[in-house]
Amino acid sequence: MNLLRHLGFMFLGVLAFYRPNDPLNLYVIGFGCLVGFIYSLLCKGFMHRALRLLNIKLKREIGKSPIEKAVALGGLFILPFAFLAGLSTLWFGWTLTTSFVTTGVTAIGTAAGMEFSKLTGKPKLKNTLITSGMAWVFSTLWTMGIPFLVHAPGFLEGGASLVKSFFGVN
Amino acid sequence: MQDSTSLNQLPPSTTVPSKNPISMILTMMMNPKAAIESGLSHFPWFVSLLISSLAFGTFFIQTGLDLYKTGQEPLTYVLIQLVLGLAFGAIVIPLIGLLIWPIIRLKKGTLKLTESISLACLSYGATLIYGIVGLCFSLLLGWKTALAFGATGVLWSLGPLMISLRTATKGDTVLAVVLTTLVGAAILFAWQALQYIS
Repeated sequence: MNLLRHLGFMFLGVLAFYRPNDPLNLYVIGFGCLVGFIYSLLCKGFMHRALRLLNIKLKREIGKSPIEKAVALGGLFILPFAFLAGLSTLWFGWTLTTSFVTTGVTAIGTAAGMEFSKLTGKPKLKNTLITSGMAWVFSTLWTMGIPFLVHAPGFLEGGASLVKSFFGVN
Repeated sequence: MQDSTSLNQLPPSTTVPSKNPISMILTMMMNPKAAIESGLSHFPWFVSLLISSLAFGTFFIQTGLDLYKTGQEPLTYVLIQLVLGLAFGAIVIPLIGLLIWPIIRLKKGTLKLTESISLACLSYGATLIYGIVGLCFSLLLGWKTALAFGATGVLWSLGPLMISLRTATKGDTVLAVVLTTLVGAAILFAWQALQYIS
């Protein structure tokens, strides 16, 4: 489940930096994968820890693992968004990756809250609020962060070319 | 992943069933699980059909308006888009409800056919809200809104659709994810095909 979620976010990361005129640029693909992977780790980690902190008594009763599993199961909800983002970017040529990520992360937050409510036996407002709040924070992080990072693959490529030129490698 | 918990054992819903379309749209957006568990049988299926029809009508007309504003298409094209959108929401979306109904029944779900159609149609409540807001921005401020509001509204509906399907299939998350992906892809292709034809 974790691997599928990581792959979904890594693919969304690649699409966020996608260059239609240079689709197989390894720097873009590598950087997109890295950004997606870090985002996926942070998203799951923060959601998981926040739920654990808010439900210390439950954590003592059932342990960390079921809470982690509930969040991981909710994370699967990113997959349709990743697939459709790929379809829209690579097939239709639309640039809507940010919309796909923000709606996908919101769906993850809702799903994680739902999965977690099965552990508690009934939905609790604080858990719904924390997962939805986290989803909102991470959506904003992606929306605000990607424009800052958009030139990073170009800088990486330029830096690598410079280093290669020092060593006389083409 | 098949969940061993049955619907009856899932946490009780907190929403009172409603026949009010606005209340139902909002419940489907914010708590689709509660809407499925308590509200669908009380909600007239033809009203849900109207909701999806209007949702895609407001989405498609924005596509027409965007092209009309740039002078690429005449006003009749805008009207054609509106009619296509209304028809799309009234025919294609209920058809999706019809197609997923046997799958829900195979997973021992208890939804009736009309409820399955309502599930598919009401999932697009968010699209209707985005469509109305986008149309206002398009007509009043002259913005190009088809992608920013129209397509985004369709995306926002994927979450409620996925949670509704998960609830209807008795907690089968993987099946809900797969079905939502297929439905989402089918809608994108159908929309693109209609744009091409028109």
